[in-house]
Amino acid sequence: MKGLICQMKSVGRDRFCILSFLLPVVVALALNVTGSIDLSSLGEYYFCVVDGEVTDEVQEWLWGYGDVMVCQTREEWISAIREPSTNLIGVEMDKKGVRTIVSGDELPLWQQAAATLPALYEQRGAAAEVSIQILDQPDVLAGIKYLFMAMTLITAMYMGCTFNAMNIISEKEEGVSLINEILPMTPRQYVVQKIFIGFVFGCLSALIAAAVCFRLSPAGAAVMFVLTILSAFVAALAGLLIGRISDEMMIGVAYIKIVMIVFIAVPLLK
Amino acid sequence: MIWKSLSSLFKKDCRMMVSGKFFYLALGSLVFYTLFIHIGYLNFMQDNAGIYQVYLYDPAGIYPQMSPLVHPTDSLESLDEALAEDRSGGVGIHVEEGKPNLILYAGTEKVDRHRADYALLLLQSGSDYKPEIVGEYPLESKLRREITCELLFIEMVAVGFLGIASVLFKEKQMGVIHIHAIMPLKKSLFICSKVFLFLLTDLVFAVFLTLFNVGFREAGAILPAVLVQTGILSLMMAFTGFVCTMLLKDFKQFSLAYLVITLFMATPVFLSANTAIKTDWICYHPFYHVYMGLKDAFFGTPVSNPVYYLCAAGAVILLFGITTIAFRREMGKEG
Amino acid sequence: MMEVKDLTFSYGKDKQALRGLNFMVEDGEIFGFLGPNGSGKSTTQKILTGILKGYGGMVSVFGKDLKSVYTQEFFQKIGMLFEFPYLYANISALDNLRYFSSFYPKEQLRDPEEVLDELEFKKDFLKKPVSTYSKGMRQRVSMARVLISSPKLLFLDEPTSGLDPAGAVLFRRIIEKERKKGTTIFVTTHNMLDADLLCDRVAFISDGKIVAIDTPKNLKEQNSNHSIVVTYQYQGRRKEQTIKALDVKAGIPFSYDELISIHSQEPTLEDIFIQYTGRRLS
Repeated sequence: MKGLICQMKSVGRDRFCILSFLLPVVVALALNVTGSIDLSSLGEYYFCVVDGEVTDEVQEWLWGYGDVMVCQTREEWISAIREPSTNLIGVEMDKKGVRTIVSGDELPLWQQAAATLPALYEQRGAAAEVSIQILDQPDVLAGIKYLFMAMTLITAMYMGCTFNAMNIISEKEEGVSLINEILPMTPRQYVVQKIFIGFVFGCLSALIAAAVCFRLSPAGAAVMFVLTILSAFVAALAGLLIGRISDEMMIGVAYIKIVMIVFIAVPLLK
Repeated sequence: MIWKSLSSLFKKDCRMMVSGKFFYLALGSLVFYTLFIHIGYLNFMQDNAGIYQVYLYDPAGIYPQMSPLVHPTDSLESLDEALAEDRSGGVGIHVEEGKPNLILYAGTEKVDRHRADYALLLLQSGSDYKPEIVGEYPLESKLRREITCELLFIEMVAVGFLGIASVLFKEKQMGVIHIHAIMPLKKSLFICSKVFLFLLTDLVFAVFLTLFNVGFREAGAILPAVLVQTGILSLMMAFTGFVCTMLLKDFKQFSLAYLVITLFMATPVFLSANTAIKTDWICYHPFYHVYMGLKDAFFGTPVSNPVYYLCAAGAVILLFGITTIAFRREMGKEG
Repeated sequence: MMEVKDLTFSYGKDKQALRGLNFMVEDGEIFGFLGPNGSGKSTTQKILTGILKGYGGMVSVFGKDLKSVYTQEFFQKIGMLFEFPYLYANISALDNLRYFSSFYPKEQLRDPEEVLDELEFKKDFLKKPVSTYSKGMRQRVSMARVLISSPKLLFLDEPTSGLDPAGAVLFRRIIEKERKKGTTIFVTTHNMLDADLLCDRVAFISDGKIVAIDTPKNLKEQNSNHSIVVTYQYQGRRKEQTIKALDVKAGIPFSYDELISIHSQEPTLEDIFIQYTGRRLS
């Protein structure tokens, strides 16, 4: 118990450790409260036209499918279409109606959208005569926001893993590990001492971040609590293992990197 | 004498990096990233970014001339099942009494409108219209350049930054920094030697990563601009790593700081630079401009604005000054 | 060689480390700075070696103001042995010495193996990494690092710390040898034996002030109670008596059968330090 209290005191004096554990909570607050990231824009189309070269009717029609960017010159227009970070579909008028211009590096979704746009223009209004049944489904784009939240929670737990690993490796480098070898300490006591801080703070950080991000029912909260405890424990154990098998910092960092990728890849792939 | 001192410092730093296994980490990262790009990323992106599937249940055969992109189904149940399992934002068409009825799961209003119109369009025979292409790179080339740029950025922000800190923390722990304080060498050489070594490592890494992942032919045209941007970022991160090492107590604190920087500072940059998500304050984020400079270099449109380079040079000089102050302060501390 | 006038230094608003030091070190002298931890020894040494700036008062080294002499040439002429043996742990003693000596002009360098041999460093460990060395071996390599550049002014901080008695004797011999070469040596220590045996003059520093400065012999004589302890045999019993040294002029002032030993009750430097400062050395 005394050993644990000493460890807590040591962390308590280490402002940076405390700040690092609090940071996921701050980010969770930011994600929840500010909402300055407009994620709905991710799935929509973006069109680009040259001012004066496209009729108001076409522009209004394009606004029905997505956002329309108006460029002043053709050079600006071509440049905007070529911009790699967006998937702008250039639209201009021709004798038949509209034609589309793309940069050629779009994903198939936008390539197909561009390929079918002139035909859609020709058959515009056809959908008005057809019945459309729209079924409810969980907001996919909100899922991306929850992805960030999940990643924040995982990062909070991952802090615990990093903290434990770094603690043990630095003890090895300072020679304190030699003292541990001759102390009358059972393996169980050693494990508890080593993972306690990382587990507790990783857990706390994740739980607070979860409380901030999610509005759960009591049953859901209970499940979240249990999952967080278990995950933080696994993370803390992983940190202990990494600390034990690493001879020095850089090797520990390499292992931690691999673990981090595994941790964070799960929600991404899901 | 300066060259002799610099050469001694450089040899010593190389030795420290080798014994610290930093090169293995860099090599491991290179192999991992290359495999990830070639085996994982490209296939994933190209397979999973198709347009919405359209499923048709037309028991009376009203639309025989439909596009080959339409997937016919045998029954209403099969149609519902196909829609439920679909991950592409699919649209179901149930032809009843000669009229098509569209069924789709809700997205956003505008995308839903497009999906409905698109599905109806496919009931006619397919068109062979192809849009005009004005870009220089096909999709695969764009994906390769983009991901290589991102991984190079991550590598320099994360690994390079970490590498210099691990070497310096070791020297700090050994106490040899105090010895350099009383040796006949310019103190700034100690800083320059390390920073130069890491710059060199980052440049070599950038060359290999670009050659292996963008392609030998295409890399030739973009490599000079990529190396300039790599140099700017590498210098900034090396000095930042140096300062953090001098100011922070131990590697444990540093590793937590490193995690904060890589995850929370790099993420908004990636979001703004690679997606349509734009935040108002991103233009004030220093990493954003450097990342965009690197990305423009990868896409063959290197930054030509002299203000950018002046600001980068200013930032590097400022960081060098801060590093020198922090280093001198560390030298004066008790062992 | 070195002159310090009204030297003051503080680490912050409330932390005054030095409160007006005044002393002089002659060429070829071994000057000792004795004081407990936190007295200002290391601070003084850091100022004299140019590591710390922002001090008050005047410091001149090699006859020039330290502020103007703080150049490459200054560092080529000085050597400093730190309290802890700072070395690159992943390389050998020889590689450490080759590296550190590479910054000095070739003409003033000594052969590393010769220096290590003089310090009785085990030849088997010459090419092994420093991480495998004992504390004494590291101290020897650190000393070699300092001597290899043939400095004119040596700063030694706890030179015999971590050494066994034989090692301490060796180090003192080497320090004496350096002095005979004309090297000026500034020793900071709280080991009174080193100060007593090595130093030409010592200064006691306490709470940032010099409280006494003189040769060890003078300090002991001035503060001695001039007593001697006589151990003798009388009527089959062993006895001890303390008498004044002057009393012996007229012979032993008491009866005895056999004199066993006569010891002077000279105070140690530590005793004198306590007298001056009211504090122990360590």
